[in-house]
Amino acid sequence: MPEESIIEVRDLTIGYGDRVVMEDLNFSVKKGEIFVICGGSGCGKSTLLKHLFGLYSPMKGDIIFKGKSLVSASEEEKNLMLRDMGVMFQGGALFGSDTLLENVMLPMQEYTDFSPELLERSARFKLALFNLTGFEHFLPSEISGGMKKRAALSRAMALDPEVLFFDEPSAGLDPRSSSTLDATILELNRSLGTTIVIVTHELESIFAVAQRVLFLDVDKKTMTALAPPEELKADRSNENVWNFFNRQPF
Amino acid sequence: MSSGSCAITREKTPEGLLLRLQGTMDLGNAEALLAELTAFIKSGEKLSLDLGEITYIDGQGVALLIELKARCAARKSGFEIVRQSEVAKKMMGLINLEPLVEPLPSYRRQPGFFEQIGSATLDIVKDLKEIVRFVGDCSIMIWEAIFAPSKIRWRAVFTTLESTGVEALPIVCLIQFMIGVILTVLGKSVLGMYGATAFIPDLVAIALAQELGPLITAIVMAGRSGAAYAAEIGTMQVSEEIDALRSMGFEPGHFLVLPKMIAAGIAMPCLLIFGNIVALIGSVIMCLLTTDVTLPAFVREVYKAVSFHMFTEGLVKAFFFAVLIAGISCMRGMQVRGGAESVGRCTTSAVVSGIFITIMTDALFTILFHPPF
Repeated sequence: MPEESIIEVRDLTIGYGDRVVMEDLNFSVKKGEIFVICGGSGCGKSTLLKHLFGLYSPMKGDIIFKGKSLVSASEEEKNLMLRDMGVMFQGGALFGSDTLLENVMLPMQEYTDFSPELLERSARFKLALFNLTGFEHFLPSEISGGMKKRAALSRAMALDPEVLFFDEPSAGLDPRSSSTLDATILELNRSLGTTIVIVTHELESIFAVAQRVLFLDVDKKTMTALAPPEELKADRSNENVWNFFNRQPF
Repeated sequence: MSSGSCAITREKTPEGLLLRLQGTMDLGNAEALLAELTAFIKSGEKLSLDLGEITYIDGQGVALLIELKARCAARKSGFEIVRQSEVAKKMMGLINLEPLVEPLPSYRRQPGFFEQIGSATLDIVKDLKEIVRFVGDCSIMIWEAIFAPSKIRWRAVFTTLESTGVEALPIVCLIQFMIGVILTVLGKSVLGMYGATAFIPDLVAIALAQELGPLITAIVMAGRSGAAYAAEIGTMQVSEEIDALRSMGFEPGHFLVLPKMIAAGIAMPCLLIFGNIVALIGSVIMCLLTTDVTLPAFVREVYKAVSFHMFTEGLVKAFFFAVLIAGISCMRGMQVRGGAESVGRCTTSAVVSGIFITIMTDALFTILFHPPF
C-alpha cells in the first residue's frame, strides 16, 4: 500500500455557525488509496468531505493538501489546489442548462488554454471513458440517474485530478448501476493511480472498493475508527462500529 | 381501528386513588378521557391506573397517558400504572416513554408583540447587512470586469439578454400601450376641464420618459426576470450546482450574477425605448379617437416636451433599476437553503425586494435630478 500522504487532517473541528458537528478529527489520506468516510445518517460525512476540498472553512484545525494548508491558502493558491481535485456530488450537480459536453468542457475552459477543437475532443474523450458517447448534446434532464452520475464523473475527471471526491455515489442507483460505478472507481484507481475519497454508508460498496475506512460516530461527535473494512467488521471492541458494519438494528 | 368507549371505576386506596379503565383508549375518546382523568388529579395524592382491562390502545391513547403523567408531575401528585393488558403492554413497550414526560418545549409559546418587533428588526438589520455586502461584492465584480472584459461569460450574457430582453418585449409593450391609453384618458378628463387637451401629448411624453416608463418596465422586469433569476439560482443552490461551481474554482458571483446584471443593464434601457414608443402609439390612437389633437400636432408637442436631458434621465434610471433588480434577485437566489419551499420563499422575496429597491432608487434619482432645495 502506498504510504505518502496527499491529504492530512489535523485536529479538525467542523460545524455550522456555533453548532459543532465533528471534532478532534486527525487522519491522513495516502496517495493512490481508496479512502472511505462512513457513519450513520446525519453524522457529518458530507460536511467533512466538503471541508476536504475547501468548500467550507473549519471551525478549528487544518487540512493539508500536498503539503500546503488548504485552510489558510489565498484564493489563488486554493484555485491551484482545486485544479488537482475533482468532485462528484450526490445528485451529480450537473448544470441543467448546459449539455453534457458543455458540462465537461467547463472546468477545462477555466483552467486550460485549449483551442475550442481540442476542448471538445478532450471532453468527448472524457464522456466516452464513461460510456456516454452519443449523449454529448443531451441535457442532464434528458438522461437517467445512472448516466447523470457517469456524466458528473466525467466532469470531475475533466482535468485528470490527483484526488477524486465522491459524495454518496451509489445514492439513488439500482444495484447493477451501483456495482458498475464501484467497478469504475476501482478501475480509475488502478489504471490512473487516482486517490479516491468516498463518502458512503452503503456496506456493499465499502467492502467492494475501500482500502481504509474512517468511521464517524454521531453520538461521540468524532472519528472512532480508521482501518480496512474487514478489520472493522470483525472488531467487537468498538460497539457502534461493529453494529454499523454488521447491520445491527438500533 | 377505533372502537368503543372506556369506562372508569374509581377506588380509594391508602396512597391515593386507583382508577380501573375498561374498554378502548384511542383517537375517538382520547381527548374526553384525558379531561375525565385530569379531574381526578389532586395535589399530593397518588393516581394509580389499572389498564388490565384495556382491549385496544393506539398512539393517541399512549399520548394521553404521557400527558396525564406530566399533569400529575406539574401538580406534584404521584402517578403510576399498576397493571397493563397484553395490548397495552405491546403498545407501551414500543419505546421508552420516560423522556416524553418532560415538559413540552417552549417553541409552542407564541412570541409576544415586542418580541416579534425585535425579531423582525434583527431580521431587517441582518438582511440590510447582506444587501450592503452583496452590493459591495457586485461593485468589485463590475469594476474588475471593466478592466478584464474578456473574462466575462459573454455567451451567458447573450443568452440572458434574449430571455430578459427579447422575450420580455411583448409584455412590456402591451403594458406600456395600455399605460399610454390610460394616461391619455386621464389627461383628457382633467385637462379637458380647462380646455387644454392640446397638452395631453406633453403630459404623456413627460410622464413616460421621466417616471412611468422606467418604473413600469422595472416592475415588469422584477416580476418576470427577477423571479426567474432567483428561482434559477435557488434551484442551483438546492441541487448543489453552486457548490460544484465553487469546487471547480469558479466564483458563483462572477459566473452567474455578473452576466445577468450586464444583460439586464443592456436589456432594460432598450425595453424602455420600445415600451415608450408603443405607449405613445397607444396615446396617439386615443387622442385621434377622442380629442381634436391631430397626428402632426401630437408629434410636434412630444418633440417639444421631451428634452434630451429627460430622455437620458429615463435611460439612466432604467439602467440602474435593472442592475439592482438583477443583483438583488440573484442574492435572494443565493440565500436559498434547504428545498423547494425555500426556493419559493426567496423568489417571492426577490420580486418584493426588486420592486422596493426600484421605488427607493427612483425617489433618490428624482431628488438628485430635481433637487427640491
